[in-house]
Amino acid sequence: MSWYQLPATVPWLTIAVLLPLAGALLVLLAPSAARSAIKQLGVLTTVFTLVLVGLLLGGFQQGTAGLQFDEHHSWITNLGISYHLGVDGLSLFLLGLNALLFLLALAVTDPKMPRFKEFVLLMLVLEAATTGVLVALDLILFYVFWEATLVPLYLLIGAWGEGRRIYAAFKFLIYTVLASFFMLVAILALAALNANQTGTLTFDWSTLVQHPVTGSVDVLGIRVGIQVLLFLGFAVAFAVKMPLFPVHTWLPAAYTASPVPTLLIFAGLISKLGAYGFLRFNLSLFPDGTRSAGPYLAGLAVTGILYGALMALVQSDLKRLVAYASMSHLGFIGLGIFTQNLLGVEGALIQMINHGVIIAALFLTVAMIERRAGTRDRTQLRGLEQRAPLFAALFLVVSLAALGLPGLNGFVGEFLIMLGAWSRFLPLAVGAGLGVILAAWYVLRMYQGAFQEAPSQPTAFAEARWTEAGVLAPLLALMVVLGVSPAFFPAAVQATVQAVVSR
Amino acid sequence: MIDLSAVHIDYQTVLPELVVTGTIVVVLLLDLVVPPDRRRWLAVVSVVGLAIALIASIPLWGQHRSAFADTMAGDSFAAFFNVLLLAVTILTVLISPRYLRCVHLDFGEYYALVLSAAAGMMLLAAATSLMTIFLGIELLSLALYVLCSFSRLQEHSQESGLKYLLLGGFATGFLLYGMALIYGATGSTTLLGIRAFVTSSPGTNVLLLLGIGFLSVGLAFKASAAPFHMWTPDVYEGAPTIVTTFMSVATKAAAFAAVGRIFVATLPSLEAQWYVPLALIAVLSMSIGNVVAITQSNLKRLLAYSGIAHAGFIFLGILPGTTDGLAASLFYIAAYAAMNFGAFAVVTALDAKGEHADELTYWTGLFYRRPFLATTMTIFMLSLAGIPPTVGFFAKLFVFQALVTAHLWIPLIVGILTTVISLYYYLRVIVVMVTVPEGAPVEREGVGLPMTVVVGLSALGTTVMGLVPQVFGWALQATRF
Amino acid sequence: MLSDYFPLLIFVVVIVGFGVVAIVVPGFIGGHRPNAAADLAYESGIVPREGARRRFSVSFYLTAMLFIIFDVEAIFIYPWAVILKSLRWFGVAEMGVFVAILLVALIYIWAKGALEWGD
Repeated sequence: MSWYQLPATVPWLTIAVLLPLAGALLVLLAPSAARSAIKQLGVLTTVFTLVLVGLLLGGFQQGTAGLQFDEHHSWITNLGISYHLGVDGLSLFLLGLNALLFLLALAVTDPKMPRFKEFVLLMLVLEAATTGVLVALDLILFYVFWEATLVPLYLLIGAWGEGRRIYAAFKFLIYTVLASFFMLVAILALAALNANQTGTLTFDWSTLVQHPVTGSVDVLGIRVGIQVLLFLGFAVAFAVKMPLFPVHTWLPAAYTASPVPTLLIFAGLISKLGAYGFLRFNLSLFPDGTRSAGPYLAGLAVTGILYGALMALVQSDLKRLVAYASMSHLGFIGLGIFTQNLLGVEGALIQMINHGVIIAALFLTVAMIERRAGTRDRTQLRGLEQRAPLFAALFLVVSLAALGLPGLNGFVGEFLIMLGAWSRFLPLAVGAGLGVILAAWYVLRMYQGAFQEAPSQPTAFAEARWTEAGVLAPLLALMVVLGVSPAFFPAAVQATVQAVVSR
Repeated sequence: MIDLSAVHIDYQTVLPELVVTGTIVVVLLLDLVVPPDRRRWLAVVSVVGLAIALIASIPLWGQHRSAFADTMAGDSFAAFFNVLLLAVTILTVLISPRYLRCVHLDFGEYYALVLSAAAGMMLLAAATSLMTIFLGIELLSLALYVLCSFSRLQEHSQESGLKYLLLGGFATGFLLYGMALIYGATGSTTLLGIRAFVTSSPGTNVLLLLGIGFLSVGLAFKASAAPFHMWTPDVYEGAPTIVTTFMSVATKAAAFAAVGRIFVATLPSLEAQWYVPLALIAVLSMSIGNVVAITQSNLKRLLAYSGIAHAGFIFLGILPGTTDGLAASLFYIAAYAAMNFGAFAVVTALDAKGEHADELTYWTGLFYRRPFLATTMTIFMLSLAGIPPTVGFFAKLFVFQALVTAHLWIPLIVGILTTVISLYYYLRVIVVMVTVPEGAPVEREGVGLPMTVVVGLSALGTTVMGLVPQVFGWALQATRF
Repeated sequence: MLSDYFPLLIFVVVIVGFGVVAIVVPGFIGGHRPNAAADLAYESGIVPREGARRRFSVSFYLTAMLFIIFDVEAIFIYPWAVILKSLRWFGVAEMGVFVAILLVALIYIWAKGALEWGD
């Protein structure tokens, strides 16, 4: 079932990847003094991309598990590397989130910032790369896009960030690149093993999925399944990107140093790419490996939930608070993925969208507070509600969504994840529940502290402007729509998720 | 009586080398009659000669000629390297006149020497006998010794040339000793004869292994691989930048051509014996090159250490002892040629203008003074660091793929770890270039059309070579001996 | 194979042995009557008047080098002469090319003034 039929001959996904690049090219040719023109160019490019992705959302055949808008061309034939793009239930809505967040990020970018042209250029290149990550189905092609996201991100943090930006950028880069290389080795090994089994060397996801590798090897005297080893190779890369608990230490530094538009992408989208990678590759390619190693990662995810929540409790810097809150919520996604059952994975997919929407909104509102009050220290903000009731209302909705209030979107995902976890890892579900309670604690304390208590001295705090409300509006609308009628979402992805968990 | 037909005289096999040699003679004589202010015509004549040689190399593609009593080969492998070396030489000559005028080194001998070095490299790439290999190495080395100390009034340059000469002479001694031992062990100087001996009499032959060991030392020196790399940073730093640009790329390529012919084409059956020493060279080169490069503040030295590291990566493809692995190495060499030549060309462009332009501090805020050079340099740095979608990534990918197929895990792990380390210093260059300078921005100035074209071509090659699938196909074809 | 090198081994042993004998034996059988004349570097040669480090005109080095280059190249002509009959006109042509290249070198150094002596 789909709303309409898109012509199959058009390479939709290639266009989706190339569109931001074309915009970047135009920006490159524009003189750097023409700031408003560059801004319009950037926003227009992302609007077009969003429209295109919207078209794809409507033209997507719901209820089928297979790949759609498939494009398959041979590339480096000698090594079995191909150009294969496609979309299924796993990537469909993330593609939408991707386009939306880039539009918002460019909309809030201040044209008066230094080196504005280069900033927009890098953001558009980043959008092309992230789009590519979501649609690439050849493992090498995926890896190319995956690594290609790093350079723009590195420069965006390193050149436009605040505080210890170079340190943060390097730390992020070294972590992710080191982890990615584990994935590269796993990719190469997987293809080599598959070539031994089937006789043809290929990196194509859809082919590899049909021939799961088997067997085991001795590693330092211990018998380990090959699937587990490969699983771990991929898992390291995705766990760092997400990030899961012990490899998260780049996150606070990088989030704190990022400029706001980059932060939206960083927190809202880049972390989802890690989760998407788990679903697309770990669960699909190594179902047995996931069954043996998944519980440990689920344990790490719950550790992350609690750790992030506890860290968020002790932060007074709102940006860092939201950063840890983000990490805590990402733990839910990880937990959902590794339940490996329909409810959990579907919950994780929904939560990925939710998290992107909520965290982006939270960071945006924090940035608005900082711009007004000149500080983002929780302890120095008091009673803003009286000065800016509309702003406070916006902030409250976002906060309530973040703590998982039923009726808003945060609840749906977390609830499904808890249901899924309940049937597989009961103790972990209990731990995650504890995380929900902690979330309520730090979110409400943040709201109460900043907006409700009586101010010690009256401070000027401007009301929300139309432009600000306009930027937040699509996010708030999504929170409500996803919260009130969550059913349309699973319908589109259920077939794909069913195929993934039944492998 | 000597039977000339058995020697198999075949001029087409060596036609590219002959053309280049002829051009040397022409350039030397022209230098005597051309007035000093018209010396750029020497460059034009050189380029024409090199271009003809390049065209003459193409018919060798797909052939399996063996000429002059099996001492020279006319095959795809030779054609691949001829095209690569000639392209690099042409690009070098194109950007030479302006640089030489700027640093007051505009002498006609320069072109003759560069052409001699190129002829030596081509000879080395086509050589299939120990004698011709030695001849090629000496021809290229002697020309480069002079070129390194070409800046006669600069002490650094003299030091560079002398160091290269002394250490190079030492390495040549090893090389020749190794060749003598191999001849003693096998009774043949041609690679075909050696191969026949090795396959017909298996078993450990100490004399032969010793010879191969010494031979590897000599070749590793030319390829500037650790632990025979000590000369590289000093020589690269002291030599005129344009010479460094040329030799950092071309010498390495030519040395690896010989390594490929000797180890993969001639001695694959001894892989078990030579694997450990070569793996050690590769691992050491990658580790030392990438780690020491971190501490460098001079760009020429930084690129020298980076070159040592890349020599290690190229050696990785040799390790499996298969032609597929060698193809990965060949692709890596081509990739390295594009990106490293480009990086050094940018240094050359800056060096022609200012004093101490090779110090990293000079590069602060280069994006705002020289956007074109800084942007292309960024591409080269990303590619050297192996970040997709540049060709540097694909080069590493293919080499790693070869290692995975051959189950050589330890070199692979070292390669990956050192790649991560290398990110630090490559990206530091980019960060320096985007850092806002403190003083007033310096006037933007051009670098001339040839430099723009050459740097632009290198950047284009660095960006698209990995995405065009045919290039790896060519590398595969070139290794079908 | 390796046994072919046995004469070489004897050769090496003889060389090393002769060296050792020539250095060690005189210490035992020679007489020692040190005096000023006997301690000079060249006992029975010309009495040295000054240090050996003197600056020569660079032309000496240049001429010496050029001589060596052309002399060494000329050596190639000896073996060629031995087999010239079997090489026939092919050999003559090849040597013609060789000599022509040498000639270019000669013209070059001549024109560059490397053969000028002093100024």
